[in-house]
Amino acid sequence: MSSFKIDIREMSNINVLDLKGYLDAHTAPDLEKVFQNLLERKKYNILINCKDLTYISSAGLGVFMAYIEDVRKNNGDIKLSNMSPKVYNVFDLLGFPLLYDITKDEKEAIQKFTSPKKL
Amino acid sequence: MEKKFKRDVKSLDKIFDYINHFVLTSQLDDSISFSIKFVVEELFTNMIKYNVGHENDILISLKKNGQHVVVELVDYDVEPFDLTKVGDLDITKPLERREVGGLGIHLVKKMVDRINYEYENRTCRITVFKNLG
Repeated sequence: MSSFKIDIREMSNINVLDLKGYLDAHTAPDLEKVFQNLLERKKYNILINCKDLTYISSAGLGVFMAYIEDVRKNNGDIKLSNMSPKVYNVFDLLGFPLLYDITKDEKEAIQKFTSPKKL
Repeated sequence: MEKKFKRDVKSLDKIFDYINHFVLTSQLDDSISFSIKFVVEELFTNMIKYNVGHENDILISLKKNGQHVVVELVDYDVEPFDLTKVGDLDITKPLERREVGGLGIHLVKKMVDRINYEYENRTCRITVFKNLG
């Protein structure tokens, strides 16, 4: 049986979400609730660590698209790191590497939160 | 192999187990598993989304045919919706002009080698061919 889990860590002013397992049409609402909660608490610097994300479908991608504008309007960003080649390929087929900061590791993403943001 | 699944996103766990079993018993490389799951999920959830008002199960058939994997989804007693006629997304658009809808179909078209759509006697049959190798 597939499963999906989200662990949340807070590092200074960045909320790191560790995604694990299958982000699909069944589990995407769980991620959506986490985003809603972060935005309600005005947490706009969000890093998605995809190290243990084994699968993503369009429902999962839709969550990132749904919140990115609100986050950037509030001078924050959604950055993604540690993607496996299969997960990266899905983002790449949609041209997302031009729209989102996708970094090799968490350290690089954290550094980018202090650099000028993409608009 | 073929199996019917309840038209509900909660069926995805069982569908993924079914695909894992197919990949294992067909002695396919595990790397094909991601693409098959992706394609099946997008087509399955599309059928749920666009064919509302009934509770018929959706048939999913998986076959290894020479150098192809053939994936077929059949939905019964539905209105026609030819997803092969859906236009491509413009992936060069900036974020604020992008729409969430249509992502899945766009990606399915990119991931597979051929898609057939048939509609007869209120039955929709979508067949997808994915080259191995």
